[in-house]
Amino acid sequence: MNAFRRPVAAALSAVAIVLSCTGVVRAQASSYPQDRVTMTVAFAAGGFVDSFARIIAQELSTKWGKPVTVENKAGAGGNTAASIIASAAPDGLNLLVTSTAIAINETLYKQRDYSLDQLVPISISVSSPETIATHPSNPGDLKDYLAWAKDREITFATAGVGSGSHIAAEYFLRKLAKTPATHVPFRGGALSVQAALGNQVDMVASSFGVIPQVTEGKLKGLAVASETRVSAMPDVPTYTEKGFPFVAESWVAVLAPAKTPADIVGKINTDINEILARKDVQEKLLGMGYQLHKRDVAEVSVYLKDEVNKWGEMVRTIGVSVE
Amino acid sequence: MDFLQNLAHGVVVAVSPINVLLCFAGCMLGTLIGVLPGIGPIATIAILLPMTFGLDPTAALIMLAGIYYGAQYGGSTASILLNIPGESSAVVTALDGHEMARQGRAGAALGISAIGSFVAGSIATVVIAALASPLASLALVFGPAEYFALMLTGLAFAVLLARGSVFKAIIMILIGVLLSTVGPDLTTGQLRLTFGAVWLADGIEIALLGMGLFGIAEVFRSLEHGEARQVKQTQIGNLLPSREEMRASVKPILRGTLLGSILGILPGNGAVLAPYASYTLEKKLARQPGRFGRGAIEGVAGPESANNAGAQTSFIPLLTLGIPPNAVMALMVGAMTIHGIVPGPQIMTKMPDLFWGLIASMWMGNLMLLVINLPLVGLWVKLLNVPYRLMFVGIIIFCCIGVYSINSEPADILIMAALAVFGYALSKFNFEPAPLTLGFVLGRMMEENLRQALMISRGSFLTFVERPIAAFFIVLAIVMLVVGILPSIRRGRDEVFVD
Amino acid sequence: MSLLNRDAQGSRPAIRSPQNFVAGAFLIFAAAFVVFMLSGLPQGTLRAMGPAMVPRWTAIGIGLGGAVLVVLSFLKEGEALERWQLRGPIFVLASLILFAVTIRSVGFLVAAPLSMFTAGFGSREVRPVELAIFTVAMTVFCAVVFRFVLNQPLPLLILPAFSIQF
Repeated sequence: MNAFRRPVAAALSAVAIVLSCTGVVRAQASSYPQDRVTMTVAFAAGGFVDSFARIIAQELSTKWGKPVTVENKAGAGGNTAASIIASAAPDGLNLLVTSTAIAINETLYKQRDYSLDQLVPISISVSSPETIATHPSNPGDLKDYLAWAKDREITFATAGVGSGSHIAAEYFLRKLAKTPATHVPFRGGALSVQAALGNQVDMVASSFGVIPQVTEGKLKGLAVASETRVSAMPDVPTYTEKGFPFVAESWVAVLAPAKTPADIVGKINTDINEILARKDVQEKLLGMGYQLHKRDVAEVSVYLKDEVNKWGEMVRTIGVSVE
Repeated sequence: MDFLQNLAHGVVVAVSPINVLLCFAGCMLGTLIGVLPGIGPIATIAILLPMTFGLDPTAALIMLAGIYYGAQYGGSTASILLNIPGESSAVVTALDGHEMARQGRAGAALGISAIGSFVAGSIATVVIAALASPLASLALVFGPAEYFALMLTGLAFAVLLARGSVFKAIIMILIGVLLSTVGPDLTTGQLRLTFGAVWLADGIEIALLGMGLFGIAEVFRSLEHGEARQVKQTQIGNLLPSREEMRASVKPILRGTLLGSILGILPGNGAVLAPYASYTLEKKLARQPGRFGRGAIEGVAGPESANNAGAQTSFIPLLTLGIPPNAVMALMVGAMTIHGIVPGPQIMTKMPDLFWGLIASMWMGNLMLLVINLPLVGLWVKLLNVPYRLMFVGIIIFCCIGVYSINSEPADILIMAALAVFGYALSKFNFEPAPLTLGFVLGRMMEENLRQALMISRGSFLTFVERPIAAFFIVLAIVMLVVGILPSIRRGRDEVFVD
Repeated sequence: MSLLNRDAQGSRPAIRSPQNFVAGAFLIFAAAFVVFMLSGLPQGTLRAMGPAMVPRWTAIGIGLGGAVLVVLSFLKEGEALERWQLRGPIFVLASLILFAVTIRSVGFLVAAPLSMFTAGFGSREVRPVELAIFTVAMTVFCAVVFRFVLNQPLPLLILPAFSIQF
């Protein structure tokens, strides 16, 4: 037993310290945050949403002097994390980081165990347009490509059923270009890009994932669904230039439970915008082909509402749904 | 020999004192966290990722690669000592590694694992340096049809993996495939076999399978026998493999390295097959295949080398194509992103320092592992002296924390508990869980690739015959199956079904 | 009379391999259950597979395998059923369930000692005092390592009555 005496003493004192540290938490913007902030990421570690969350978490934690932890809670296309934050304490210590999925799922999923009203958007500051690309051996101009595609029912690869890339591409092909095509879903964007690199499929639809491949000439970009061309691949035209007025972008959003005090929401929004205004942070994000937008809380809220309607319209048009 | 110049340049980058230090720290931390039962390489990298934020990108990647190697090795340590594989490759290591540990040869198993990994890592580093770009484009020939055929071959391996009845092994594979279909169907998004439970809606994590079916089930079996079943304590002077054991391991290590290097290059996570393929190969080549599953050192040396070589060469699709072949590499992409690096074909040309530095650091990382772990073997083996009545309590809490840290989902712990009961039942009915794991790992990829291949070929099965690589693997699979089943049939029909 | 055991006269029972019989019967039952659960999903055709195709035919394969085991159990001599020791599994399962239930509602500082102390009794050689000390030491060690050193999102202590969320 002798050997155990020291651990006992250590254990007891540690428990005492732990208990004495525990304090009552009250939410106020001036002193926010008083405690550890948890960012719940709606997707697995390693994806872009996760990387963005980690960059922001790191910077916020330096700025606030309190730990900001990233917790990955993947599931049900992002709905699992959303429903957890929807019912979390509205003290500003629980934030949700998710993607366009939060807007798409409003229409895509037949049932969800949360409502978007239970969440307040804080920031939507980075976006990347949906892009379609093809193997360099195929026609590289959108018009030529569609003519070529007309009589061969092309296959197109995406990151999965109901992903933004799938919805945008299918909407474009079916509604705007009236070109029959077979959708081949892959597990994640990287594998869909791989299939196009090996010319296994006729086309890939993705967002930032194809940018390095297009810049290196391994794939030919057919069109980007943004208002202006993307600086990382200036040779790729927009859909609008090619006669199809069509804009669809994937973005990353930070949200909080709806009842979170407005001044805290405002403070987080301001702080994130401040971080994103820094040159070093901007360089990282722009290098990946992301576009930056400075929006205040009111603008973010309007933008999200528009996006819910826009994606909803596309989802209904192509008639896809998920249980 | 252009690549030698490049490699030399890489070595210059990698051996800067700060990078050596970071590589060492990464390997050390990775080993220490990875050895905790229930914490696999993915969890270890995710946990330690924030530590690299403050570093410059090259240094950060070197440290992360070190963490990865350390975590892998730590995982092997946990599965050898306690039979708790946290990922599918460790399942294979545990087959004979844990048997060795129970016979008091834990030191030899750990030692050969470190040595094999080092040799495999060193060779794979040269392979990457010399052949990265040509191999990467070669890998793109693999489309869904080829992957399906490759996975089919892999399942044929699983039949040979079994120690006992081939017939029961086939049933186990099928159960593994069935378990892998739980969750959303990739092609339609419809949920299958989730019974309306939210926590099943994304399928079952492989880590849960490893910890439940093997780890906790092993705890059940050990408790049944009291302290008697406990791992035999190793005599001190017996910490390293003997000369005979070393000699027996040389060829398995080289063959494993070859298999792992080839499979690791495939962007579609071919590396998962490597340890299984190596194990099967060694068992087939062995003069007494009966020793396998009962503590054969070749069954540790081969798969561990294959695994490490595959882990290394799986950097090829990441660095040359920007395609992460597995979840660990996806995490590396995330880490690169955080440091403002876009993985893709341009890395090699635009950031030679980073590219060649990372490759040179791979070799350094493997050397570090050897340096760190050979002395640690003694420590790990000493840990086995903790009485089992306390040890298993520790195993359980680490498994709980490990499972919870994957997805912060308490229900995952319950799934693990259910799998543990199932694993315990399997041993009571003389079924083996290893083929089930392979069926689980390959089942999902097989179904997805099969359906993708058929979509692309517009429903024509001829695609598997017309594409030469696919046809080759399908023929190979049939041959493997025949080789696997025929001897048992020849031995008399009884033995196919009874052990 | 008995199906599973030799009776007093030593005449051969109908079931000669109880182990295979029970395993086979279970597999048939499980396969039937899976096929039933999949009944709502479309199977598609071989050329354009639906979501139910692979799991359904895999389950049917498992069921057939089970049937073969059952048939064999009447034909071939095999092993008897093994005894199950329930003490270990029961305490360990209870401990896992306790951890799962308490980790998010009360936090690690309660969940960990509770589940470890329960699990410890799964061993016949349990020594309660030693176990209690080990439990406390491990709890503190894990809390410090995972929460503070590694910064993991592990809820340590949640007591809503005292507005404690730590």
